[in-house]
Amino acid sequence: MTQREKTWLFITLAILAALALYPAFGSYSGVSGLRDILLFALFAVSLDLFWGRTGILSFGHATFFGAGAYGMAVMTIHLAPGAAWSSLAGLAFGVGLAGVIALAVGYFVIFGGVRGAYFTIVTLALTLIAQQIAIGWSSVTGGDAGLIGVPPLTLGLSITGKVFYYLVVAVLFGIVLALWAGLRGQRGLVLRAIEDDERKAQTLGYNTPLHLLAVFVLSGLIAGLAGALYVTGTGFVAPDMIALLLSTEVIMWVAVGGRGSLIGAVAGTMIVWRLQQEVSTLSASAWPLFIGAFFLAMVFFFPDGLPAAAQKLWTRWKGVKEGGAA
Amino acid sequence: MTGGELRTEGLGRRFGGLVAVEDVSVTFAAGEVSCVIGPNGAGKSTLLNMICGAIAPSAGRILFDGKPVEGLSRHAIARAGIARKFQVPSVFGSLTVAENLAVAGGGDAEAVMARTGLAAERDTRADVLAHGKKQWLEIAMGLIRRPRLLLLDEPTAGLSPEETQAVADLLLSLRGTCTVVVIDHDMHFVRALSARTVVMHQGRLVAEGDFSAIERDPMVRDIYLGRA
Repeated sequence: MTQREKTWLFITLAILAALALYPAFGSYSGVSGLRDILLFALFAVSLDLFWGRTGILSFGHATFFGAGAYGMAVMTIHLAPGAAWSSLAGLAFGVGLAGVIALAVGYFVIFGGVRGAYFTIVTLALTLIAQQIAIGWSSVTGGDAGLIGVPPLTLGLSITGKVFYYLVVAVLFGIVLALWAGLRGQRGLVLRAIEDDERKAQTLGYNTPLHLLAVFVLSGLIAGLAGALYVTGTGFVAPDMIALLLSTEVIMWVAVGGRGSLIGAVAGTMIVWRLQQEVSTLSASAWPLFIGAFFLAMVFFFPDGLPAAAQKLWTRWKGVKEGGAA
Repeated sequence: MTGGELRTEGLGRRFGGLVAVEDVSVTFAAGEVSCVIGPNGAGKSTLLNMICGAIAPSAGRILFDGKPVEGLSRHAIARAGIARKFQVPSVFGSLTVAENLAVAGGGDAEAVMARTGLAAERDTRADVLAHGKKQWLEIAMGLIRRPRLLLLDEPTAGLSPEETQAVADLLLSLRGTCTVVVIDHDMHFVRALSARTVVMHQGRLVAEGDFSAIERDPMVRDIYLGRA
């Protein structure tokens, strides 16, 4: 295990310990709020899997989160209301819908050779189209108002409160650890190689579009799972869950935490949400302006995320201290 | 492992009105080391790009061990046993030397690093290697895959005379185990290989034979002096 991996493992265990203890001290609303943030963190992990490991920025990930959310809502409200299995069917439908969209879009875009800024622009358009469908197809999606009355997650018995919170913690950290373990070896090296030089990777025998598509679809499935679980907690779905602002925010969460580390996306989400709460207490309308300015500041001053910036400062401080001592 | 035979039949490539390669029919015998020489713009790199699937031919066929490979994707051609080294060293900068070799193939990395003089840099990131070491690393990435055909585009560019000789010795040691096709401008290197040589000029194959005969050929001399 490298020093960097040890550092991230320590951060992961520290965050996990804090989250495990929180319900013992937090209020009911605090636990619910943190649960929702953790589901957004899972969403950020899904983007970090694709952007962080392939270097290709997707501006369309809200589509997959929204597909999961709308899939769960439509199944549990319209298609199988009241059925004992509706939550499971909703999960399968929501996650499956996100996966099918990722597969269909990813196939044409990735195998069509669309990369770099062009990929970002195409996926940005995907979010706009998805949002228009969510607003326009009102007989199914509820239009601007969305759908209200999504039942709590039911797996034999209704999962709410602290049980739901711990389920979300388990799902989030289970996925982070599974991805970390799965990407440590040859698979992770191949993705880094593709990010460095896709043409060279192809001349070594790697079907790079297939690798990229597999990661994109897995990323879409995880985003869909986050969205499907999210609406069982909030009880409603609305077009802002499939909107451009959410696609922008998730990029910010990953960028703040440091692209490519997975757990950094979790930390970044929590930091930005904390900031959002602070800014919103001053002025609710200031948040979009603030996030734009913050995003620019991140790009210019901390392109590798806050943890990397902190590590640089720490190294510099240690150097100054040791220099002073000598 | 033995090398594979590469044959082209009437191979051509046009870019709009520009004829880059025209009617090239040539055979690189299994297990032999061969050189392709010619002035800038002769079509050497285009020929290599067609063989490894980077660009599709406009005309003709490419047969590897008798099977057509033209039109196949790059990764399919690579899996058929064809490895390629690019003109500008192409290595994975964010990976270490050992990781580059791990991505390249499942061969004996330690032996390949020892053979190419990279053992001391095994944990060094490829993007901080000197140019010559990057050349060696890319050659090593080709070797570790134990290819049946190794295509090398100017493998000695930027290398010292001693390193150039070392590359020649390495390639000659592959005789019988791997077919090697080298493109190079460096006549000292081509002479050191003393291999069968194919001369290209203005997209066409104009001469082929032993290097000793080729370098005495008045037409080849004229081509290199710009008189043809």
